[in-house]
Amino acid sequence: MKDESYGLITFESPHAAIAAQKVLKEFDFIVMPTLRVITASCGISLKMDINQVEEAENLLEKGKIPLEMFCIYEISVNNGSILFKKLKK
Amino acid sequence: MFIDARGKACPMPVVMAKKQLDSGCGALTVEVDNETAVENLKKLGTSMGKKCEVENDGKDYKIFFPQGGEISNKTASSDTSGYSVFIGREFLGGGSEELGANLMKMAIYTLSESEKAPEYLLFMNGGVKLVAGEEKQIAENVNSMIAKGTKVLVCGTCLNYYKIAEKLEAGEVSNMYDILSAMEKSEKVISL
Repeated sequence: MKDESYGLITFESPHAAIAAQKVLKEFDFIVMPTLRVITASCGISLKMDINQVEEAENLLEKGKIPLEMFCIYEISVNNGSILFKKLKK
Repeated sequence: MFIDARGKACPMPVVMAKKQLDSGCGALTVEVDNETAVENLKKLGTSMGKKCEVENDGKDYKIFFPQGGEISNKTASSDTSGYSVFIGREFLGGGSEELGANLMKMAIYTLSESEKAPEYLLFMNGGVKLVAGEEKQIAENVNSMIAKGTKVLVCGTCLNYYKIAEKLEAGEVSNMYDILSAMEKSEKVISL
């Protein structure tokens, strides 16, 4: 695993994850499996630049993805260890 | 020996040329009318350890295999001990296509992040749409695997069938012979 930092949006259900991709279709994101260290969510996550997560959150709310359906994390990978910080919820 | 394979659909030019080369026909010239066939004939030459030259008159192509044009066996048959991943569909697993598309993206992302990249990634039938379509994430992940040394073979017949050959964004146009030969050489083949 390479060293990097990014924003990660996780979802309560695969349906919410798929709906969110439609809302965020203009965004630059990567669909990735939810990191194993984050257990309380479904398996589909969206990885994006940390600077984009706030705008993404606003759009998701406007796009009628209920706040309780997703979580936002800041992820830092350093020498193979993963640090994660919950930014929302 | 001369073969006019113009107008023949892939993989016929390769099949016709291979038959002649196998029979030890001496020098062989094959005429074809598309670049995919040229690439596939060049690969046939490499896989059989034969030199070949290509001549293009602006419309059709002549591929010339000289008599006894053996090349050193460096590229002809290199053994591999890695694993291959075969992707024959756009979606991972049966059931929902929407979910399957997400699962496929995540599987290829995970593969691209893996320490042990596959030796070969093989795309066929609907799988070719993953590297020759609107979907950019998968093409990017596949290109990062290529940078790590993975060889990516994409079925040319399939690209032509779906009329997306010009949209190929990752990997090289290939054919049944090379794809099957990659499988044969691999320690194991994982089908997605």
